[in-house]
Amino acid sequence: MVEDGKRQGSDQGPPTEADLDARRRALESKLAAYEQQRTSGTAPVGQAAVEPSGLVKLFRFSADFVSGVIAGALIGWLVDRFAGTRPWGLIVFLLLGFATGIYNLVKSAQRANRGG
Amino acid sequence: MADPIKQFELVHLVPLKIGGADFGFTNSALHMFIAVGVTAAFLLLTTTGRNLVPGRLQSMAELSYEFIAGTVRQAAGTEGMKFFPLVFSIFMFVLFGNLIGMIPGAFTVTSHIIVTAALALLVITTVIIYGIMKHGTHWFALFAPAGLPKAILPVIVVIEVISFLSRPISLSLRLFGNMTAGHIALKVFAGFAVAMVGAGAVGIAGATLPIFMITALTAFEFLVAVLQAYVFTILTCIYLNDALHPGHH
Repeated sequence: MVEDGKRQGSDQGPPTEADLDARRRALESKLAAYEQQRTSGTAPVGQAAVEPSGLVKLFRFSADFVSGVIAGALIGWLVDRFAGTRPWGLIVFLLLGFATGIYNLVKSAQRANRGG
Repeated sequence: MADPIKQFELVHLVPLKIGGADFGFTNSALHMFIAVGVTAAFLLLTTTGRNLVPGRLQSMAELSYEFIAGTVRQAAGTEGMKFFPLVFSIFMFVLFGNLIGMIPGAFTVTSHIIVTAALALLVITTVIIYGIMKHGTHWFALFAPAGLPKAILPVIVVIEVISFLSRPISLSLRLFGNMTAGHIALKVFAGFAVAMVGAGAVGIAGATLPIFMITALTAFEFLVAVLQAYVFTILTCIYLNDALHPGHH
């Protein structure tokens, strides 16, 4: 908003070359800062911090846990089907699936704490 | 009371069978076409002017681009921008699929797990194929986190593999679960209101309560529709990051 004041101030006469030069330099440094931010990806533009409600978080984390168990059960069932080890594949992989569920949960909780 | 599940029923608009397989055009397919059409129309029409200073509509199109571009850069780095067309298409399809489902009487495309699973499998297949193409066998280091004692490595590798395979499940389950649960909740409360109105004057007074609930839930559902599209997108970016940089996670 400093520029607005300057523009009003220089409304009396036509802008001098030095005036324009200063403005160009200001724009250049702003563009450089924007470009730097764009490529480094540290602070993306237009990234509103959405704080999800409790119910949304519940759905997010429960899906992480449940999917681990389902994946484990699915693999166990397939192992049993093709290797004929019923019921041991299902038992072992279901337990591993529970472990995976907790592992997923911890990983996504860490991600949430980092604010990602 | 109306059946709260009936809204998810597939109806054949144009039956078509080729060699025993069903290729009929259903209401789900119709709404997918509508979602794609609305997305294309929105982006094409709002950017025809191409003004340097955007108007309101052009600004909406530009904001959606900037938003997804920012998300991709943050989660997968600048290299991730080669997946931008994929990520942006998925985001717009899911977003409009969710939002069109909020129109009363419309079908919610994303309330069928086969649709969300197809999207998730597309993402995970891209990750696997691109990861192996780019890194070769080094990509499998993704499953063996660095700096672990040898003794527990086999267990962790198995867990990592199951965890990787569980990703498309959680991706599709989350979107499907949110949309289906929300729409069923809306229908159930609407059913309460209808049933109470049938019970006379006291019932009509009582029916205001579920109607308040429906109003609040509708607003919440709009939030969920947009948020789930965003969550699907950001997880897509995180998974694509594994294809680009295995080992950092």
